Parts: sequence; structure tokens; C-alpha cells
Amino acid sequence: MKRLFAVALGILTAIGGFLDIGDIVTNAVVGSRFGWSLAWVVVLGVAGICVFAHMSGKVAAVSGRATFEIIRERLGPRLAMANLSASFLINLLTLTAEVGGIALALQLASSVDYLLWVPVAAVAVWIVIWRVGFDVMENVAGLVGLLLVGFAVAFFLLGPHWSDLGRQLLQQAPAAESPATYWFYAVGLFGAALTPYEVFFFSSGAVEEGWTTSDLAQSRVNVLVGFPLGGFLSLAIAGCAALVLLPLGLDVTSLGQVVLPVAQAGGRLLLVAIIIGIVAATFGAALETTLSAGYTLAQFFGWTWGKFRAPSQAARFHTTMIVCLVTGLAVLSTGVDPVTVTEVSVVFSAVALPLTYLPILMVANDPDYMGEHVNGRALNAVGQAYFALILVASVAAIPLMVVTGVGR
Amino acid sequence: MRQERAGDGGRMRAAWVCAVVLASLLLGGCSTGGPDAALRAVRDSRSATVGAALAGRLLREGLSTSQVTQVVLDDAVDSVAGAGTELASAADVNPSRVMTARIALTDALAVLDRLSDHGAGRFTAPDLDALDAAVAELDRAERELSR
Repeated sequence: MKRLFAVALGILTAIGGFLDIGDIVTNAVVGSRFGWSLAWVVVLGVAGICVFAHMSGKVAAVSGRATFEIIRERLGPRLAMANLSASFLINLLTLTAEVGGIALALQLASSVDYLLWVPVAAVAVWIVIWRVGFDVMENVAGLVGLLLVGFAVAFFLLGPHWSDLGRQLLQQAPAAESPATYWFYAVGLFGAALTPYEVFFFSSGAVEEGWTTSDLAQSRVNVLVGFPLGGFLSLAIAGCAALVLLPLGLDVTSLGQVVLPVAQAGGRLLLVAIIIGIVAATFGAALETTLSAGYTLAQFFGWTWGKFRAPSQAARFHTTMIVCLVTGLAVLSTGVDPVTVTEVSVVFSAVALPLTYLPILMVANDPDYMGEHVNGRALNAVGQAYFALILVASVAAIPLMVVTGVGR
Repeated sequence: MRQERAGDGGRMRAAWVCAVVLASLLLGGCSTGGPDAALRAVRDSRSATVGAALAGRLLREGLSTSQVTQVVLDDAVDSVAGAGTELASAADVNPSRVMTARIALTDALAVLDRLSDHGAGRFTAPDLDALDAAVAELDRAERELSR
């Protein structure tokens, strides 16, 4: 019974913790402009994160070591340093977007300017990281984030015309959109689904929770059930925007517009649930990105790390997280639009994807590290096919961003 | 171990070359011929104003909260004002097209600004009519600029 409860909890937190501000905003923007014509990218991205999260969990469980410890050993210090620099900066950008996302969601609840909520959000993230245990932190954010299921409820309440959505699935792009913007958002959605911090957090969390090979089955269930259901919520967000905002010609540019279809479908109750869900999802993602900042640096330089240790025993790990939160706070205090930060962060995530996923693929294929748990032929083939896709997305991301003026 | 790393490096280089070729093909197929600054400013402003009208309508029907409506109104003001600023700094746009866009933007901004200052809590049916009229004006400008 206890085992069943642990599996159910793992799945629920994986669903609730799957979405972050990048997923929410990008899916809504895409739904309002392209309908469901980019739904295939969500499916592709979710399958990709399942493959790589499974591998990184396996690597952590088998070796007892997290991603960046192994990256440095496997790639050597110079290449690993380049990897660390890029991954750390992208993670910092994502952290900034998540803190901005919390502030925007609190603004929707209060109509108080988000800039006043930014320091509150950053301090709250720091206090939770400082004081709250890893399990409680992960489970509470994931479970409250489940309120985002409200997007799926709203989608069905809106009464989708399945034939219209099916037609959108088959068309490449609406006539009003250029091929460049279509592919720009395809890359953005792919980056949003495969954000690097998810892998850092997943593998470091496995070490924090002391996973062993006996936990691999539960990890596989969490990933293979929880993430696809989280991906379904991504499709529901795009679907809500496609049903309500696309026919009006409303291109989403703010979080306030994202929730309007929910209000139309389910009224105030559902709207309030969704706003709480967005606060929880972005808060959870802010915790994960903040921890990931500490994890990457500490694992690379061999510092003592982990929430299971008292802060005084992992001083540099905690100092890194505080510095990153202050940096994110400083960036947002300039008045830069958090939605723009989010859009840029998902594109740069796509740019940095190979740096995160190549070492995982290499280590998961290395019998010296993995022993009997080394990747099988099928998983290896899928991993390599995804890596090829990731490379194309990475190379195309910045030129597409420049050509389209960040998707305009 | 060194041989293994050299092999990894070779595979990595080959993968990068393939990725660059594929990405170039992708970009090559993406010829852009986007709208000019005037049409873009009108489209962006129309989108923001439609959002404000939808938020107002949902509030009037008791489906949304005044907090959400206020945020959408404030964002719409920022968006239309931003579109106006971009239009003012745009080069190589026909002055008559700029004028057409500017008139529609100014009208929409005036309505949104008034409603935002007034507060969503006191949103009335005539306010919704004013927003719908602003959207109609932006539609007209968009049609004219698209010809």
C-alpha cells in the first residue's frame, strides 16, 4: 500500500511539476496563433524528455552521482567548463523567468503591479529552499500545481470541434503566419518541453533522495506516466487558446490573456483554481531552477552540496543559490517584461540542449559507468535520433529568432 | 579512454555538420516578407484591445474577476503605447500609412487609458461598447493598410 501511494504521489507530482512558465506561455502563444498545428512538437518534446529523464535518473541511481559530476569526468575539464558556462547561464535565465512568472500570477490574483511581487517571490523561494525539506518542497509544489488540470477541464467545457482541431493538426501554418514564425515556435515549444534544468533537477533529486537501482521501476513509471499527462496539459493550454483566442485574432502577449479562455469556460471558480495552479507551478519551477543553479556549480567544482545537508555544511552551494536569486531579482527589477524573458529563455534552452543531453547519452551508453543497466539498442537508437533533432533545433534557434524578431 | 574521447569528438563534429546543413535548409525555406511597421502596430494594438474587450465582457457576465480584468486592461495600455512608440521610430514607412495607423492607435489608447484609470471594478456596458468601437476602428485601419 505504501509503495502504491509512493508511485501515485510520484506520478501526481510529475504531472503537477511538468509545467512551468515557459510551457504555459509558449503553449498559449502557439495556440492563439497556430491553433493545434504545432501539437506534434509537444508530443515530440514530451517523448524526448521521457527518454532523457529516464536515462538521467538511471545514471544517477546506478552511479549514485549527479549529471555534472559525471560530465566533468567524462568530457574533461575544458569541454565540461564550456558546458557548465552555457548550462548555468540558461538556467539563470530560466530562473529569472520563473520568478517573474510567480510575480505575474500574483499580479493576476491581486492586480498589484508585478514589480512589487518580484522581491516577495524571490524571498519566498529562498526561505523555502533554506527551511523546507526536499520531499515536502517537491510534493507540495507538484500537488498544488495539479490545479492546472483546470486547463483540461476548460478545454472540454469549451466544447472543442474535433474536426476543426484535427484539420489544424494536419495544416502546416495559418495563412497569416510565415514559415519562419512557424518553425521559430516549433523550436520554442521543443525547448520548453526539454528545458535543461529538468534534467539537472531530476538527476540531482535522485541523489538527494538516495535512489538506488531498486527505485528504477518507480522512476520509470513517474516519467512515462507523469510527463505525458503533463504534456496533455500543455496541449489543453494550446487548445483553450485555439478555441477562444485564435478566432478573435488575439495573439497572446501576457499571462492575463492566457487565463481568459478558462474564465469563459468555467467562470470565477476555475479561474481562481488556475491562478493558484500557475503560482504553484512557477513557484515549483523557481525552486527547481534555483536548486539546479547550486547543483551544477557545486557538482562541477566538487563542493559539498544537497538539501539533505544543513546549510552550514554546504555553504557555497547555498551561497550560489542566493546569488542567482539576487541576480534574477536585479534583472526583473529593470522592468524587462517577464513574458519576453520567458520567450527568450525557451529559445536559448533549445540552443543549449545538446550540451545537456549529449553527456547523458554518452554515460548511459557507457558500460564502465552503467554495468548491466547500460542502454539497450532500442533506447540507444531513440536517444540518438532525439539527439539529432536536438542538434537541428539548437542550430536553427538563434537564426530563427533573428529572422522573425522573436516570433513577431 | 583517450581513443574513446577522440571517437566522441569525431561523432560530435559529424553531428554538428549534419545539424548545420539541416538547419540551413530549414532557414532557406523560411523566406520572410513580414508586414511593415504601420500594419504591425495596428495588428498588435488590435490584438491587445480585443483582449481587453474579452476581459471586460467576461467581467460583465460574472465569469471573471476585476483583478484579472484590471491586469488585462493595464497590459493592453502598455501594448498599444509600445506599438505607438515603435511606429514613431520606424523608418522607411509611407507617411500616409503611418497617419492611418496613428489615428486608430490614438483612439484605442484613449479608450484603454480611460478604462484602466477608471478601474475594472467600475466597468460598465458603455465601456464595453467603447472597446468594441475601438476594435472596429482598428479593424478598419488594418483592412486599409492591408490593401
